Amino acid sequence: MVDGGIMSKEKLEVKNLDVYVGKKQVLYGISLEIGAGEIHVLMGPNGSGKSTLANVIMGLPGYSVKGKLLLSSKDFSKMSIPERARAGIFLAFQNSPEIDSVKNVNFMRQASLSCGKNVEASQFKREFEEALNRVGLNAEFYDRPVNFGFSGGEKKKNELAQLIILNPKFAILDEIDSGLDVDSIKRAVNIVKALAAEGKGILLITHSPLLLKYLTPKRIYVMSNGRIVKHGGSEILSKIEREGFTAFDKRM
Amino acid sequence: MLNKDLVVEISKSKKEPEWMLQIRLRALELFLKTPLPTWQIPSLKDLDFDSISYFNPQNIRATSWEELPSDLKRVYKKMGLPEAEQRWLGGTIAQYQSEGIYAKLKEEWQRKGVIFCSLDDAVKKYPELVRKHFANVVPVDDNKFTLLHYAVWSGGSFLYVPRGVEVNFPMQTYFFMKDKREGQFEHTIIIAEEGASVQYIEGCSAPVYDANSLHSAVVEVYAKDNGKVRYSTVQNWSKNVYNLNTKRAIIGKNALMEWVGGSLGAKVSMLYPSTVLAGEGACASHLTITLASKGTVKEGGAKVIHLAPHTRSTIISKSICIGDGHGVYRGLVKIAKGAYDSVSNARCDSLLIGRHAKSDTFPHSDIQETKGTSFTHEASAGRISEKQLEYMMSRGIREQDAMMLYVSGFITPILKEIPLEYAIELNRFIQIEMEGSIG
Repeated sequence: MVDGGIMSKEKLEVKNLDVYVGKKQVLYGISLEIGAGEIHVLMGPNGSGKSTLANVIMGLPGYSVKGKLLLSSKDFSKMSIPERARAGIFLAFQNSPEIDSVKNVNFMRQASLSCGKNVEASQFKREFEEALNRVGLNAEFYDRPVNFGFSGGEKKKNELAQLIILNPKFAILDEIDSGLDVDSIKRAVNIVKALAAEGKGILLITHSPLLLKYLTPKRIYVMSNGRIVKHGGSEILSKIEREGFTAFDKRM
Repeated sequence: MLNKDLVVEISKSKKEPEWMLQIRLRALELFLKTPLPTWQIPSLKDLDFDSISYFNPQNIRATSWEELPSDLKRVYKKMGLPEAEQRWLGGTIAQYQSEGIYAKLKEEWQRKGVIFCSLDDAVKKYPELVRKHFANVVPVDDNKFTLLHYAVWSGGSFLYVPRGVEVNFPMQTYFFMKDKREGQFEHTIIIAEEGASVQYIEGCSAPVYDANSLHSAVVEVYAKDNGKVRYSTVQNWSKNVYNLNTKRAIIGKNALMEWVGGSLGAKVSMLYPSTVLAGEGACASHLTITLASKGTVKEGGAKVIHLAPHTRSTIISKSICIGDGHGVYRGLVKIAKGAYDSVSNARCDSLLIGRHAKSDTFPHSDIQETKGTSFTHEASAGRISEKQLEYMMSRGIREQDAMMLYVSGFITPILKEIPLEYAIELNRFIQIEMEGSIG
């Protein structure tokens, strides 16, 4: 990832994406492009289709999809969920499920082995401990069942720890800020910035402008009723703060 | 053909004493008069007792690994056994067809007076010791299948640990079936005298074959005052096998009995290891993993009888049901009058994989003493949800591996209790079963 020339070729593209649940269309002509090392933000009210887009990129079932999904110009729309993960796509879930019978460390160990990261057990242990520490989870989370009995904030932090361990090319963070207190949000933002600086492309999904107080994204998209109704730089932000998301609906 | 002539022939060829022949003949007579049990979930009506071969005399007897037949070694290898085998070689008895062909005991144990050999040998070499303990914990007429067993039993182990001797090395046997329509009726007796302790490990597996086959073993365990016995078994019979065993321990004052079982293969299983807590302060622990894979019905459980005060029992049962597999827990805890201050806790968890998987729990209790006694039973049945699977898959883990990860976590509390080699093997078998059953 040191070679800027190669790095700059990595990109995640969504082109003219239409998505249906059954016969009902839920996303309309979505296009976006995220380059390596860039932070993009997807905003919009609840129910506008942000999580649907995230789920479709990850390949979660329940949707029929038209349009293109490209990872560094290669179509990945036919890949299975694990294949996408191994190709370098990561989704931090908005509601991560609890898995009571699997320990966090075993889950991450299996995941990183599956993603081709074959390090010594002792090194892995160290890395996972460091990742937990970095996101603000204490050592007990190492051995606890995955997300089991975690608070909303702890789940978000655990998603970030997984992101650090799996080291993907592109990460979609679905409401990584919800349930976090202000200090934790700052910490999360710093991690996101650092990951971007390492060369990962980031798509932050949020419906709260608060997150954007601490970072300057390359681009902001506003979504409403399944469409991207506006995109641009941080100037959009002041309009959202003034008028709310409804300001953009009228332009449809 | 199952009849008197066959029983006499078995006894004769083993050059057994008269008392053993008499036990066999009485058992056969009662067996023929006793109907099949009907209270259990799996049907036994397809069992054809006359089509089973009851006895295959074997004259090969090996005293070292090199002497073992090569196809037997191949099976060992396939099972991933060599490491375990080599390590525990000194204490191994392998049962080939119906008789032990390999029996070796480390010299140091012999010096301590430990006896570990096939029961057939023990009948000849230690007749008094065997006679005193044979058919004593598990009576001949305990049930239909013990009757059959006592009529035609062959093979099995005899393990005797003298007073105060602690064997700090697991004693291990490896049984398996090879020929078609072969019944295996091995009889195992384990005796820990006062203050003695021993761990016994039995593993079973069978190559695939096509006819119904019957396995009906009896295990009798004695842990005398302050004695300690752990009996671990991993059974992986092929899917045409009826596995109907009776295993029971009777334990004395402050003695400890631990049953650790992994029940994997077989078409129908009925296994309810039981412990009779006969002495004050005695303690029993029952741990079972059951895998009910496609097309199988597994009844498992535990039976604990508290006869003395201050006795304790713990039952943990984990069952995994795959495809249309049906796992049944059936338990009985009895606290007899006078067994005051006794406690029993049972916990049964089932994991259902697939829409047609099924589990049932039948915990029975009979608490006759109320002073200071308690009995608890907790049960749960769960499934791996789509959401959980998708989540694991989104981290790069293949569906199959994700399921396995989940299942491994589910059974970890029991896997921890069995030797590493067996834990790995068991994990692998479950994986193979899951591969064949999903998708």
